Amino acid sequence: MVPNSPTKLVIDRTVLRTTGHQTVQEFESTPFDFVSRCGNSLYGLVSSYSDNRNYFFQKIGTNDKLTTRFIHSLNVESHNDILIDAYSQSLNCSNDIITFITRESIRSDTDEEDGIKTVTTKLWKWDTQHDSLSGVSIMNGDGTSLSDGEGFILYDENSIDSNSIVFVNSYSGILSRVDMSSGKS
Amino acid sequence: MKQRKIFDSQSGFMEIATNTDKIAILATDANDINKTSITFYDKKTLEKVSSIPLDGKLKDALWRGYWNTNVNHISIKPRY
Repeated sequence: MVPNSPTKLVIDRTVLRTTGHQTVQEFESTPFDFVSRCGNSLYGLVSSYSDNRNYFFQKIGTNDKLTTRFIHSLNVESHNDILIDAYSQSLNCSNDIITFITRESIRSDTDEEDGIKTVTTKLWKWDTQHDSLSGVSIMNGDGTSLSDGEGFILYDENSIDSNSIVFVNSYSGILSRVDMSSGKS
Repeated sequence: MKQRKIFDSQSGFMEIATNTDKIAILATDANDINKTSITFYDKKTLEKVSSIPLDGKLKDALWRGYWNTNVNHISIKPRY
C-alpha cells in the first residue's frame, strides 16, 4: 500500500554499473526529493549530483503496488546547475499534470563572484498520462527571461496549476499571471 | 503575460497566499515599516479587489510569527 503523504520515500532499486568489461548488478536506496500523487499513482523526482545537478523522473507505483519506472531526465547542459523551486516535497498535481518551477544556473569560470553567470526560471509540465515533459521560460514584461538578479518570485501551491501560474516578483513589485503552455498570457 | 505593478520599491517583508479566486499579498513598505497591509487581487484579471491596513498589534505579531492564510482565513502562529 502506498503511503498517503510521503515526504521522503525510499525505494530499493536495482541498478547496473559497468566498469570496463564487467557489468555488476547492485541495489541502491534512492530517497526521492519530491513525491507527488497524481490520480491513483505516485510519481517521484530524484536528484543526482554525479556530474551536475540533474533530476530523474520516475513513476513509483500505484495504490496497490510499488514499482519504479524511469520516465525522463532533465537535460541540463554541461556547467549548468538546476534546482527545483518548491515550498514542499510534494509537487502540485492537477488534471494528471505535475507542475513545478526550476531555477537553472549557467556557470562561468570567469565570473568574479561565485561562478554563476545567469539564472533562468522555468515552468515545467510533467504530463503523467502521456509521459511527456515540457518547459517554458518565465518571461518578464519586456520579453527577457526572469533572472536571479531580479529577486525571487513568490507563489504558493494554490497559485500554480495545469493552466497558469500567478506570482509576484518581490524585486520589481510586479504581479504576473503566466500561461503554462507558452510562458505568456 | 498579464502583469500589474503593485508596488514601487522592494518590500521589506512579503508573503503571498492564493485560493481558487483571489491572491492575497502581505507586504511591508521597505521605506516605512509602519505601512503593512494585505491586498487582495483577482486571480484571473489581477485587478485589485480590496486592501486591509494592519494595525500595530497584528503587524507586531506578523513580525514575530508565521503568517498563514487561505485567503478566507488568516492565522498567525507566534514563533516564541
